[in-house]
Amino acid sequence: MAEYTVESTLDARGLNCPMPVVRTSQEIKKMSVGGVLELLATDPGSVADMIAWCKSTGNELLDRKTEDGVFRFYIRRVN
Amino acid sequence: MESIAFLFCFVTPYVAAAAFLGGIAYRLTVWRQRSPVPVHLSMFPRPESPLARLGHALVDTFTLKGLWKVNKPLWVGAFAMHLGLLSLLLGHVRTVTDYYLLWELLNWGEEQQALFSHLAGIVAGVLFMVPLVYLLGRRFAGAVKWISVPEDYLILLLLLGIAITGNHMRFLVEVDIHQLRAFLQGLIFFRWAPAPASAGISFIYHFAMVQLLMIYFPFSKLSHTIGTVLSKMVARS
Amino acid sequence: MLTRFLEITRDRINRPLQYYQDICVRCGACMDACHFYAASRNPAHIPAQRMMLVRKALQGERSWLNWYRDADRADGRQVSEIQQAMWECTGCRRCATFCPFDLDTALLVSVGRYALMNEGTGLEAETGHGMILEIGNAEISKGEIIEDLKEFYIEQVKLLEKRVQDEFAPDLQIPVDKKGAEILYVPLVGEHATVPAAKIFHAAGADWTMSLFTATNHSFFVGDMARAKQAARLILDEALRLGVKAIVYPECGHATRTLLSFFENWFGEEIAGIERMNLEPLVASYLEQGKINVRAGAVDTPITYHDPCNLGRNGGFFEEPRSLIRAVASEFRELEPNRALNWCCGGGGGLIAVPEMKETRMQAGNEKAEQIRRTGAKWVVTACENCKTQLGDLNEHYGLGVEIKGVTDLVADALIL
Repeated sequence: MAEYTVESTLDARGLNCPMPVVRTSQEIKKMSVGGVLELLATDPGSVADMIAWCKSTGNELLDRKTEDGVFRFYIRRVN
Repeated sequence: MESIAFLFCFVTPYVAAAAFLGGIAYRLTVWRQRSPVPVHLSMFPRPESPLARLGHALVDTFTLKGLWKVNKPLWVGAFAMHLGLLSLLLGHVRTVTDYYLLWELLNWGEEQQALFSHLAGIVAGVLFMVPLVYLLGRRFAGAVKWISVPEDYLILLLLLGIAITGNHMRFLVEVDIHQLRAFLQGLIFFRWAPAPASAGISFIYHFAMVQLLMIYFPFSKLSHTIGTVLSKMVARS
Repeated sequence: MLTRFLEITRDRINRPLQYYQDICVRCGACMDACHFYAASRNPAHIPAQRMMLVRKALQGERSWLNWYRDADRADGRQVSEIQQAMWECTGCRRCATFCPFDLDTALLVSVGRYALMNEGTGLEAETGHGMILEIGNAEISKGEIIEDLKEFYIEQVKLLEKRVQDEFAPDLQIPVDKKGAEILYVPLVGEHATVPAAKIFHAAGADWTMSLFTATNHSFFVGDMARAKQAARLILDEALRLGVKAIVYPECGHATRTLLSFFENWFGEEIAGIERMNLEPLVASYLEQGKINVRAGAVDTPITYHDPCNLGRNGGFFEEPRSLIRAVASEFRELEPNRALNWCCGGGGGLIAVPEMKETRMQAGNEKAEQIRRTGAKWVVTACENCKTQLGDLNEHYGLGVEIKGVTDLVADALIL
């Protein structure tokens, strides 16, 4: 796995639909190209949503892991 | 003057009738050609069966329920105006033919018929004209002004002109119903008879404006007369 | 300017919209009905004016009658007015309810938004509708990744299941991708849309499975019916693959509307054998048939119900949510007006997803906030995700001091197993 440093962290836990995607999109736009966003979520639905969003916007999903029931995603801003 | 009167009494009525009927056919064709929405627009409450929906649409149409709920003065104005207009249209049937059966049933003589017609005409004339003044007035005030376009003023002015000349004939001059009937039947059956002289100049104005309205009818928002129930049926499909 | 907009609009004006164009008398009944106009007094927010702006643009192109029709050539001001008229609308159809002709501004807005999007007026940033497109696209691309994701997804659902078991019932299950289940429940993002439903299904002994997808359909908000259908197709395919008897949509207004009003037209024969329903009426029927039992009076806080437009006047579910609330809460207070005449929350039509619209939303929710305040209720219950988020924002903005909950939250918390 590639080395990366997290530029920004977004806690999307407990957000209503479609806020996890909206917040991520907003957050990513604020970041520098190449920067990495760490995203926290607890529900399975937003996981699928995040990955699909990365795919359709061309941003890169670097890594995902689960810790104590919390899912962490690492997304690199591509453009 | 003579020739203008002749024109409006014997030439343009045919133009107006043709434009009115042709225009309605055109309007219906335009509507028909537009693709019907394939999905249910489903506005609720929505009765289950098509027949119940039609009933619902008709009741809504004739009671103007929506207006009642949101704007009571407007409901009073609109309802009175339409009621007056409907009564006047029914009354105008007498200018072509009479309600023979009705009079017979009621056992009314010529005098009673005339009296009833006179009173009903007054009531309907007032019911029609007064709300028109209100409806026109509100177009000049506040937010309604923003959404008003020339079409809205023109139609109200035209209706008001028709109402004023009509009421003039009702209140101030005596119009011979038999003369009038002969004239209009003449137009319909091509057995031309002179226009009722007793009505004077009001008649020409009244008649000419009605013709203008007929020509304009299918090409203006007046087509809501035929579109209301159609539109309501789609919306609650 | 607006060439593409006019082309598309002209092409997509269907029969009801032609009626709208031709028969609207501009009586103004709709302006007293619109929550946007009530708050802003901006003419572009008057529903009839929304149509007039489009009509004028359509007529402005040709015709020597323009002076009379009040039609002006498309200029910058007109473009921004149309933009406002199309985007600052929640499509709640409250105006149509009062309209003497039932003219449907939501339909106009759907066509208008799609046409504007294709025009690219350069004002996207102002209205921020790009976000809705982005989410809509993500919903569709989910179809392409779901196979790779499935295992991971199911693993995570198991984690959630474990948590709910510990808290609620050890034998509760959240089945995913279960062939032959009777019900396919399509949730939303966020466990709040999964957990109450899972508890209720468990209590009712329902044979259900959860969808790999979510119910939302953001392409629908921008009138992009081809894409909306593509996203809906994912759910249909899943339902067919699993062989379910019914598709059940969660507390989400617009998705329920697509399911109940559009699926039949989109998928015809394919969907014919599958029942389609919203969670609220289903749970109400569980309660009525005695499949679930709840503690009467479990909630003694004063409580009110907000009719979401897509469940109420656009879906016809007025009594079902009320029967559920009444079964649980001892002090239920109606908003005035309610049911078909209820004021829109101000967050529908996709606006909730557009960060730039926050201020507009708060303004448009003024009537709603006042309505809630008048009841003195402490809990506001509703059955639409959009409404919940908006009501939550209004609560904060207007300092209402209420709690926002879903109808199924109430039911799930009062279940007797």
